[in-house]
Amino acid sequence: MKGINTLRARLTMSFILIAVLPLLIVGLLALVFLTSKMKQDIEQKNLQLAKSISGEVERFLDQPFNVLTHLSDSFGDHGYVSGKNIDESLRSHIRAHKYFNLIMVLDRSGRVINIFPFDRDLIGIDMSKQHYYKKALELNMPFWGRSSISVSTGRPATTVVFPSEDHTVVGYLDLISLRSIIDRIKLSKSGYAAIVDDRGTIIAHKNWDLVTEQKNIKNLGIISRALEGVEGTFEYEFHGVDKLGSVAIVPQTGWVVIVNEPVAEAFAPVNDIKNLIFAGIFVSLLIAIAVSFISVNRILMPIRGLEQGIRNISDGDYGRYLQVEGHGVYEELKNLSHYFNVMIDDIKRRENAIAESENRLRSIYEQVNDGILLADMKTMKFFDSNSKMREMLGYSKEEISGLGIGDIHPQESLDAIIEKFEKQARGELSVAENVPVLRRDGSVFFADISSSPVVIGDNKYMAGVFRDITASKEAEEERLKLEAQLRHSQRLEAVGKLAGGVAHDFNNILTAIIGYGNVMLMKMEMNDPQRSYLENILSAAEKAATLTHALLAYSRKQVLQPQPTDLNRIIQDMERLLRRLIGEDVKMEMKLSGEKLVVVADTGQIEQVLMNLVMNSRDSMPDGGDITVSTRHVKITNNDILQLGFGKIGEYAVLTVNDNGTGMDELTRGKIFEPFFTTKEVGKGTGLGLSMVYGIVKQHNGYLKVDSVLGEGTTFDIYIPLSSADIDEKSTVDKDKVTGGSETILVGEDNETVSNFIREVLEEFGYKVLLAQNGNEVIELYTKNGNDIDLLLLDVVMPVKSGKAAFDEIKMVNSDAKAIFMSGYTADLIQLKGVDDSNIDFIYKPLTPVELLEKIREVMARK
Amino acid sequence: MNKGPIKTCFVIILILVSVLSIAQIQGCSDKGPIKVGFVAGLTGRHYNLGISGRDGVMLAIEEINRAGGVNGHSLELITKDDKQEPDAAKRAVRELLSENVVAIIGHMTSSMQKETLPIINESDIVMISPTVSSSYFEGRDDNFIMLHPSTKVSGKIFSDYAYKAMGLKKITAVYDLSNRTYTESWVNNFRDSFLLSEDTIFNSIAFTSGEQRSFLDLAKQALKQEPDAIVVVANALDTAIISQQVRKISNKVKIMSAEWAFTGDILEQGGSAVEGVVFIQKVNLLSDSPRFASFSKIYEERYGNPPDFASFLAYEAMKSVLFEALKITRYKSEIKGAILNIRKFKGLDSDFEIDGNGDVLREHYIFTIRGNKFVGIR
Repeated sequence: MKGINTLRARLTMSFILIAVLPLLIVGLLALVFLTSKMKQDIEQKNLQLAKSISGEVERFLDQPFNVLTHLSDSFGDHGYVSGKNIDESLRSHIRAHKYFNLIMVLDRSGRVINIFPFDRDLIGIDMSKQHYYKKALELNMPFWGRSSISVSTGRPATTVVFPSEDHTVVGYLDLISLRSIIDRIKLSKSGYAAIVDDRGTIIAHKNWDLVTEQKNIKNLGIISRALEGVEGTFEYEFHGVDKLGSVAIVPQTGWVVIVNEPVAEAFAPVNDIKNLIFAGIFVSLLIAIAVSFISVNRILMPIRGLEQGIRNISDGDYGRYLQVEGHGVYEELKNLSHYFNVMIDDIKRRENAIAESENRLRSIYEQVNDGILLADMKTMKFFDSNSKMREMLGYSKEEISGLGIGDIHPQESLDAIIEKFEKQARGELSVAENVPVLRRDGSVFFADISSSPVVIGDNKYMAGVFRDITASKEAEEERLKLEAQLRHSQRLEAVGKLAGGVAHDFNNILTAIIGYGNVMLMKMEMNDPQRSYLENILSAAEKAATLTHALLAYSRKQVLQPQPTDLNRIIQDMERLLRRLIGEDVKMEMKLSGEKLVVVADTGQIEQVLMNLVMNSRDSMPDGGDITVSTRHVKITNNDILQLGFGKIGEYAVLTVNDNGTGMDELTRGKIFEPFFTTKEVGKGTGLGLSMVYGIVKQHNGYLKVDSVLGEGTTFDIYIPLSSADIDEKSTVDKDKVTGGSETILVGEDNETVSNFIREVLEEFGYKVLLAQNGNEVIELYTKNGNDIDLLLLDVVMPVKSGKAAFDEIKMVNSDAKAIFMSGYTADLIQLKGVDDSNIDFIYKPLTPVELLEKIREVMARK
Repeated sequence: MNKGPIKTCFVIILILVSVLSIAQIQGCSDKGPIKVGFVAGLTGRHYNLGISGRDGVMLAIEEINRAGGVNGHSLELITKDDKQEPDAAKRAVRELLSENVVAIIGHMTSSMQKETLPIINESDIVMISPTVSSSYFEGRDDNFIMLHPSTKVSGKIFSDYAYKAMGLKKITAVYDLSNRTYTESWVNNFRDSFLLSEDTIFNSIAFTSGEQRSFLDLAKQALKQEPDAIVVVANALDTAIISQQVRKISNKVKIMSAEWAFTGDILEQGGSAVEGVVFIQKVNLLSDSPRFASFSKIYEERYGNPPDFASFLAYEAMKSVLFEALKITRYKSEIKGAILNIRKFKGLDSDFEIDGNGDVLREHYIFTIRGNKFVGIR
C-alpha cells in the first residue's frame, strides 16, 4: 500500500475514519438487533398462519364427521332409519353435502349392505380387510382412514369410519376442498401452504400434480418431525433453495399443514433494512470522502506547491523559486519556502561550478590529441573512450563499448602487449612504446601507450592514453633515409670533387703527354728504334685517360652529348664487338624489341653500359653459360611504381642483360654499385664498371633493377625514358677522315704546355694560330684581328676572365662568331661558368690531335 | 494529481461492502447433480405400479445421496407421468431426453413401453424398466433393459403349475385390454403352453379397465364356461373386484392371478374373496435376506406401507443396476455398455443376470393368499 504512506492518504483516511467509524458501529449494532427481532416476528407470523390453516381444516373435517355421526346414529337396531329408507337417507345426505364421494353401510362381517351412489358390483363384497375398517373396530370409535387418490374421481380422498354394534358407516370424503383452503393463503411471491397426510404424502398443494401423483415428502426433516408431533418454524433446504417453513398438525387426522417460503423472500424486509443500512454507510462514506478530499486539498495545496517546486529542483530546474501564497497559508510553510529558496541559490552556484569543471574536463578529455580508453578491470571490456581514440580506431562510441583488449591489438602481439601493460600496472614501465594497434578496417598503426589504474566510484578501471606515433615513425624513417641519401650524395660529391680535380690536372698532363707523344710519333721515322718506347708511353697515357673518364662517369660529372637514338641500333652496332669479347664458351642471344626504341642518350655512354654489363656476366660464368640481351617497351604506371619501388610514370625502353652465372648474395647485391667494390681477383677489375653503369643510367634519368639468385644467375634491367624526338642521322661524324685547314684560329688557354701543343698540332695541319693566356687577351686579340679569325678555341676555365665570358663579349660584337670550348673539368663547373653544354661545341681534355682536328672540321663544316 | 488515496479509499469501501454483504451470499457451488429420469403412470387406473416404482427409485436415490452420491455427484430424480396414455408417454420421454438425464427408469407397463421404445432407440440413452415383461421386448438388442423376466417364461411355468400341480384342465382367462401389450402377451404365452397338454381347454375374456360397466357380469361370463379356474390378468384393484364378483357366484372355482396384481391392495380390496388366489411372481417378497429385510423396513418407515414387487424392482433398477453403471461412467451413451459389461448384479433377494440383449434372468415363485397374507408355495 504505497499510497497509504503519503500525508494526503493519511489525512484522508483519518477524516474518513472519524466520519464513518461511529456510523458503521451504530449501523451494525442496529442491524444485528433489528434483523434478529424481525426474523422472530416473521417466523411467529408464519407459524400462526399454519395453525390457522390447521384450524380451518379441522372445521372442514367437522362437517362430514357430524353428518356421518348423525347417519350412523339413525341406522341400525336403535335407529329410526331402516330398510330401503337407508338408501334414501344416503342419497339425500350426499346430495346435500357435496364433499362426499360415496357413503356405504357395512354389516357386522364387513360386507356392503347399502351404498350410494349405487353400484351393484359393490353390494355384498367383503370390505372387512380394509385398513380403516379394522382400525375402527379395534378402537371402537370413529376413525379417519388414510388418504388416497380415488380411482373413480382421480382426486384425493379419505375415509371416515363410524363403527357400531350392528353396522358400520363408511364415508368417502373428497379432499378437493383442501385446495381452496390453501389457495386462499397469500404469502410472498414464491411462498405457499400445503397439507400432507399422516404418511407424508401430499394431499393439498398449489401444484396439484404433486397431489395426484401422491408425492411423499416425509424425507424432509421438517415434515418427519411434524409427523412425530413437533410444530414450529424451521429453516430447511428443498431442491437447492433455503426455505423457511412453519408446520402445524391437524389433530383429528394427524395431517400436517406446512406454510413455507424461500428464506430470501421471507426475510426480504430484513434484507431491505440491511441494504438500507449498508446504503446509508456507503453514502456516508462517499460524503466523508468528498468532504475529506476538499479539506485535505485545502491543507495540502501549499504543500503541493512546495513539492512541485522541490521536484523542479530535483529535476535540475533552479530557475524558479518556491512560491507559497494564498489566503490562510501557514507561517511555517512560508519559512520553509524561504529557506528552500536560499538553498536553491546555493545549489545553483555549486551546480554551475561543477558543470563548468565538468565541461572543462570533458573538453580536455574529448579534445586532447591523444586517444584515451577506459577498460573495466572486472569485465576487461572497454567502458569509455574519447573522440580521438574513436577516430584512431575507427569505431563508434557504442561499438567500442563491447570491445576488449584482444579486439584492438594484433593477435600475434597480444601477449607481449599485455606483459607491457602488466609492467605498467606494477610501475615497472612508464610508457609501452611502439605498440601495434588494430583499426576497425584491419589496418595497423603504432602507438605509445601509457596506462594506469583509475578508480571511479566503487569500480576500478584501467585508463590507457594512446599516442599515434605512425607519422613520427614514418618521419623518422624518412629522416634516416634522407640522411643515408645525403651521406651517399656527400660521398659521391666528395668522390666527384676528387675525380673532377684529378681529372682536370690529369687531363692537362695527359694532353701534354699524349699530344707531344703523338707529335713525336708523327715526326719519328717508322724504323726508329725508339718508336716502340714512345708507343708504350702513349698506350699507358691512353689507359690513364680511360680511368679518368670512368671516374667522371661514376660521379656523373662528365659532359654528355645526348642525341635521340634507337636503343636497338646501339646494341646491334655493338653485337659483333661483344661476341668477340665474351669468347667461345659463352653463348649470347639477342632478343630485341621489334619497334624502334628512341631514347635521348649519349651513344658512347650507353655502349659503355652494355659493354660493362655483358663483361660482368661473362666474368660470372668462368665455365661458360648463356647471356641474353633483350629490349622492350614498358609503360610505368602508379601500380608499377608501388611494385618496383622506384620510377616515375611514363614510357621507357628497357635493356635487359640476363645470365645464368654464379649470381650474388644479398650483401654483395647491396654493394655492387659502390666504386672500387669488386669480387674479382686483385688486378683483374677496377671496381668501377658497375659504378659507371649506375652513374650513366642515373645521368640519363633512368633506373636500374637487379635480380639475382646465388648459383642461378643475375638479371639487370636498365630503364631509360623513351623520347618522341626524331633521330638526327646527320650528326654522325665520319671518324675515319681527319683533315686540316687554312683558317685562322684564336686559342685561349692559360696552360702554356697545352696551348703550345694545340698551336703545334693546328699549324701542323695548316691552320694559322693566335694564342691568348686569359679571357681579356682573347678579347684584345679578337678586337685587333677580328676579321681574320674564323674560330675561337677557348679553355672554359681561365684566369682573369673565363672563356665563356670572353665569348659572350665577342658575340656582342660579332654574333656569328664561333667557338669550341675545351675543358678537363666537371660538367657542373663548366655550367657554373655559364656554358650550356647542350648548345655549345665542346671537346674534352686531354685532347688528341685527331679529336681536335675532327671537331674543328665539324664546326667549320656547319658554316 | 496523486490518485493513490482515492484508489485506497475505494478499495477499502469495496472490502467493507464485501465483508458486510458476505452473509447475504447464499450457498456455494457444489458439483452438479446427475439427473435420472423416471417415467410411469402416476395417475389413472394403473397408478399403483407407477407410485410404487417411483417410491422405490426415490428411496434408492435418497440412500445413494446420503452415502455421498456418485463420485461426489448427487443424483436428482426427474419424474414424469405417462398417464397411461400413448401421447402423454411420448411427451414425457421426450421431455426427459431434453432435460439431459443420464438414463430413464420406466415405464411400468408394457403398453406404454411399446409406444416410447422407438424414441428411446433413436436416442443414445438407455431405459431400464422394472416391471415391463411382455415377450414383445424379449431378445432385442436395443436401448431397453428389462428387469422383469418375459411373459414367455412365466406363462410356461405358471401353466405347468396349473396343469401339473393344481390339476387344472379347463381355464378361462380374464384380461385387461388397457395394458394389452402385457396382458395379451401374458395370456398367449400361458395359453400356448397350457394347450400343449391334449386334455386342456382354454378360453379368454377381455375387458378394459375403467370402461367395464359391471364386473359381476364379467364374472358371470367367465363362469358360464364352467372353468376349473379363472386366471385374472389385471391390476390389483380390478383383480380384487373381479375376485369379489366371482366369489359371489362360486366358491369352487380356483382363481389365479398374474404378477401384476401382486400388491397389498389386493389383500385390502379383495377381503376374503382373494383367499387361495394363486400368483406367479419373479420377486420373492417373502425373502428372509438381510438386504431385503432392511429395504422393507426402511420403505415402510418412509412411505407408511410395505413395498410391493414394483417398488422392489424399481429400487433394484436404481440401486443395483444404474448406480453400479454410473460408478463406471457418467456418459449416457456408455451406460448401456457398462450395464451389459457388469452382467451380474446383487439384488435385494438374490443375484440376477442381464444378458447381451438386456433381458433379465431370474427365479420364479408361486404364491397364494392365506389368512389375508401372501404365502409362498414354490
